Amino acid sequence: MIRLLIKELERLGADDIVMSLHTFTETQIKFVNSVIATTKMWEDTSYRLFFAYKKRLISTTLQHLTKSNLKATASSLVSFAKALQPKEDYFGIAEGSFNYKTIRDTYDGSILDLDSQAPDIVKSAIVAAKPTRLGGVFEYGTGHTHLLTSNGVDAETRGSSYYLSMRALAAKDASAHEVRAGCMLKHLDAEKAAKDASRTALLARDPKGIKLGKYDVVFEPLAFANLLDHVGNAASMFSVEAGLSFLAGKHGKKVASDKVTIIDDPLIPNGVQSTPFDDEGVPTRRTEIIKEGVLKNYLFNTSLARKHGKRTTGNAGLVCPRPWNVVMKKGKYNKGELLKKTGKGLLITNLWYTRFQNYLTGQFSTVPRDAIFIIEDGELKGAVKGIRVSDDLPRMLCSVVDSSNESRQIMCWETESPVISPAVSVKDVNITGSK
Amino acid sequence: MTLAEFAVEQGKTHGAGFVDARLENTRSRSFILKNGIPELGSLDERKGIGIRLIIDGRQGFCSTNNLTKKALTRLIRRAASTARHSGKTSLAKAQPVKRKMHIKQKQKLFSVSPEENLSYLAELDSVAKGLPLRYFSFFMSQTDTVYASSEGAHIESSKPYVGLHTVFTVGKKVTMQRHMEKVSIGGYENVKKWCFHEALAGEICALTKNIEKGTPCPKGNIDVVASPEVVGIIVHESGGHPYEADRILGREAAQAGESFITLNMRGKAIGNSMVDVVDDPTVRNSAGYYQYDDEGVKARRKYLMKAGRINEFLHSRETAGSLGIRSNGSARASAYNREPIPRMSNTFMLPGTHKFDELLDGIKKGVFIKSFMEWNIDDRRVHQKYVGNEAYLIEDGEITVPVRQPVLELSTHTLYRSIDAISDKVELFAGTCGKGEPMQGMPVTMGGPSIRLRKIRVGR
Repeated sequence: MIRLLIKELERLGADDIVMSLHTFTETQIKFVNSVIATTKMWEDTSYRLFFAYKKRLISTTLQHLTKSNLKATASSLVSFAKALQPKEDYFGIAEGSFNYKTIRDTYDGSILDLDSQAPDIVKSAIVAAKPTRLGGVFEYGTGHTHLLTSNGVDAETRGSSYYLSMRALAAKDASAHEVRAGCMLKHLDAEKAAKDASRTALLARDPKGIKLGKYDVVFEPLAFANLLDHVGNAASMFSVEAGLSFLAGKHGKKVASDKVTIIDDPLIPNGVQSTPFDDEGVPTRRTEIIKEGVLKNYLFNTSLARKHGKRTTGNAGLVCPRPWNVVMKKGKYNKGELLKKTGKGLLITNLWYTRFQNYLTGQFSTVPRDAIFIIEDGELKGAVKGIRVSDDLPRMLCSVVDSSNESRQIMCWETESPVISPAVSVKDVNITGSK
Repeated sequence: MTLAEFAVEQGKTHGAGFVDARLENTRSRSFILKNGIPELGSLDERKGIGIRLIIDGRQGFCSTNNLTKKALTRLIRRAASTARHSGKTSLAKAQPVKRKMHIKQKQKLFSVSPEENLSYLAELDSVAKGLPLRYFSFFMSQTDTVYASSEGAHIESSKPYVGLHTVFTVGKKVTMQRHMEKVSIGGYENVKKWCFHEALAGEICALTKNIEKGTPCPKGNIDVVASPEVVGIIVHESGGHPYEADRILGREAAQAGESFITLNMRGKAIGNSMVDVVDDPTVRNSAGYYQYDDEGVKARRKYLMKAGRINEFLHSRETAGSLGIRSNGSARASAYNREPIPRMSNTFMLPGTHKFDELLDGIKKGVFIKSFMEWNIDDRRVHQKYVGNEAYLIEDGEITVPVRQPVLELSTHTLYRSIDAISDKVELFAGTCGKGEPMQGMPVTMGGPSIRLRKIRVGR
């Protein structure tokens, strides 16, 4: 059916046709106050289509493509295209065909049979988190993509994923959040994650206000991933052109401390968004966004790369290039050593509600959520509440002191694309509050 | 029998005491214009069904876009099997409704040609042409829904939606940015009512003046006048979200968070007695407009805060059922493939009696905040921050020069108690509210009159 539609669109004068068939099935168990509240299931099959008609760009999602409606569908789409104006700075899609790398550990067939075991995984986490109250979701599913283009691409991939997000609440103002995400169930340690969340939530009881001002802060992976997600999006050339990036005009320049190396890596095993090809069928590859503090690359699709005299980085998005898995390079210290090196400061375990006053300057604020601790002499000394990070993201990146030698793959409510982050220490973070 | 009714019958065969189904067909058209260049045109049609079933008090939800009876039968069987692991739920009683509802369109959305849509965007872009960075997106859709339940409800509705969003940058060396959004539920005639050209030109002019002539904002405990736009975000974040019953009951703990409000706090004074905050889905043509919620319960105005006291919560049938009361029609789902949960619709502060100029009277030195950019709040809705974009100094009761980035960072209790005067004119602003997992972005409006806040801390 895909080939037939591509052929019909070509007959009508369209080119750069990219069409893919996506199918996925997913299940979620939602638990609330330490009880399973509901289960949800999704099944979805859809065709996604992109094409150019004399530089006029069209995208659509088709759900019910049949031989009988194919010609009419193609005809109405081309009629729609004729009504548009050309995008003069459009430079086409990649020429195939391509060979693709096999990425290890991105499909686990046992996830297909998880319905009977999944409630027990959740119940064991609930028990492990006692005496704290546990809320969250456990999701799992599989998907398949078949992509063809009018430029010779024929690519196929399948994947599986799991996602466990849990918040343990020890009191109204004492909580902790843990997430686990991956493709292979063998990596899921639900009970340990629940115990970790519970222990941290209990430690966070009786939080106090603190004097507001500058603090050296250690951000746990869950917290720093929230900021790295914004760095990844800022690296997209679309964001740069739209005025939504603090990395605009900084290519080759120092944008972070020497300790900061950030890579987009679509090829990592067990990576939730690992993929052998991008949305136009270009083989994906590792791209250094920031290397030892210097901005090395923006993220491109073929058209934007040609416009800027670059090679595509394999990050299509046919309109907006996007990162696959944002990875921050690990440091050499374990978390305990990182706290000791920090000496005096704060440990922030989670962030949410990150909002920018100006995407170009990176002026922003974000709210530490869940457990926050005072660090004194490298030890955790009491919990903190009611604070906010009000700073500039470029300044914070330039003030990164170190990072831990352990990373975690993070997906969560606000960080919907996967980020692999270590714990990161940042100097002189501006802490504000409601006092 | 529609496919929605077929799904309901299938659920019953698996022993479900309650089943409801939403069969939805959404047709949409959208465009993106970036720095004057047409990036993309999109044309989509999405059809699917979402089914909720309760078996022996245990709840499950499933959805698919494979609309064959065979596929539905198989999916419902699987969902019924998995639902048995859930804890007990009891839905509040509701009168089953049979209705057909269509929102009037003087000029039907899809009678307007794509050329006309693009010409409208090009006209807007010409207003902003001097700016190097500008992004516009235009979206319109028509959603036809059939809702059916095992209790006998059958509601057919048709909802036209049209919206526009822009983000642009003013200035070169020193820059300011601004988001603007308009949404209407109704026909294309609403687009003309937005008067977006004038609004956009005014915003660009004001931000340019702020860059050129803005002075540092005074700091300390001073009087602040907040515009309807700023009041809107305030009431949405701290006068709306904390009143969602699912948050209060812990159902959003790991997602959008909980609330500082507990069930026994109804009647507790939280703000000045002149403050009323309502959530009202019945405001015609607004982004949050609906007549029946996504559980088939009739929509009505809810007084969340009445005379400064916590008054009523936003309920679904599930949250109301757990408290033994009736739902007040606040359950919404962003699409067929999402479960309905308590959501805001149009949340706003009710008007007072003052004219705007009277709010300024008696302020020796203060700040008027007309628009904002950065904001956030903690997940229990106590500690919030709003950073002004367009803002002015108030001196001796007069608005004088622009000021740069006034920062309000204060607690909910301080904020609502500091209000001492409310103007008589309400404005609503469109936005998208996030909640649920997977995320459900929901069209809402937020707003109110202008208000005066006495002696609150202003930073930066």
